[in-house]
Amino acid sequence: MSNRIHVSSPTRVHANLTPLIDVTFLLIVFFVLVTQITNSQIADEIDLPQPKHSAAVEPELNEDSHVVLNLIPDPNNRRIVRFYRLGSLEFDAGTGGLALLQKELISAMKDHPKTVVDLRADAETPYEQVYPVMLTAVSAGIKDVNLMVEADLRDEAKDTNTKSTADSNSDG
Amino acid sequence: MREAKKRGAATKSVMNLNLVAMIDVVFLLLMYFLLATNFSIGEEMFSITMPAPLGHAPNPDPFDLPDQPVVIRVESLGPDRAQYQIHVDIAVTQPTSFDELSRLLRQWRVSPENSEGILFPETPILIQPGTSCRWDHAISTLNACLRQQYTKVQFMEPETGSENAP
Repeated sequence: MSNRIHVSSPTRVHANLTPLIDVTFLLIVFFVLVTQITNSQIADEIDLPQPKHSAAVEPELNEDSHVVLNLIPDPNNRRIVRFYRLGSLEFDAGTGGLALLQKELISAMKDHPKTVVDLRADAETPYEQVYPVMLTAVSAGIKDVNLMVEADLRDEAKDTNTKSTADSNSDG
Repeated sequence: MREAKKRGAATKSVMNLNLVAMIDVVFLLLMYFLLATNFSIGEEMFSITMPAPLGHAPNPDPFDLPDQPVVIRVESLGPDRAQYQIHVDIAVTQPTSFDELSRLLRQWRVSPENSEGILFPETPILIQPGTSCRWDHAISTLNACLRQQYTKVQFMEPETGSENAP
């Protein structure tokens, strides 16, 4: 009978970091892929229209000659446009705002004769407040205006390849 | 001898990778992306061509016969998105929704499959929203026309004196 005592080596507790690093890298790859540098000209306070079965098309990637014109609604009453935001410039929608806006658009046209205006207006904004802005764009010599809408992601049958063009009448 | 062997084993250098710095950087990157990412809603656009300003319009073709336009009036009846009224001047039964308007426009459009149509894709369509018409109702009317491949859709000045202001 031997009195041998089994002395095992002390248990070494250590955390296995491999799954943690795996998950972390997965998250980073996910965020790197989904993150796109957002256009700082886009105003978050605007709730764009979302037409059902939309015939709208994807925005063009070439944004050199694009200027974004936001019609910022009053937060207390979304049916009133508070100011126009063109790029980083803001113009009061009340008095003289349209004249200043026209001046800036003319200036933009001088720099880029093919300037395209991306018009972003809230879904609740009355047409009578959008129409003068379109007229201002026409009087500034803007030829192309993109009416921005929310993408209809639910409509799978949509044909995104057909680009539709409409004319806008300035004075009826 | 055995002691010497033991001493030699103790001084043997152990190769291991220090992951601490890498994990620090990785977590920093993760925090940056978590805070900086903004899941914005995708946007699309209706590309419209504006007419030339007054005085700059090209001379119209004197032999061009003017087409009789179709006028679609749309008005919002309340603050709700579902409350609106559509009136098409050539319709016997007025559409009650934008889908119905789109269906009517498809029925009326002349195409190889529909020889009994009454409108050509080039027929001008004038959209006349009321003064208090919501922008999304004006856009939905435009969308209904463009879905059926009408090419000359125009926005008119707001219809004044609309009685159903929300």
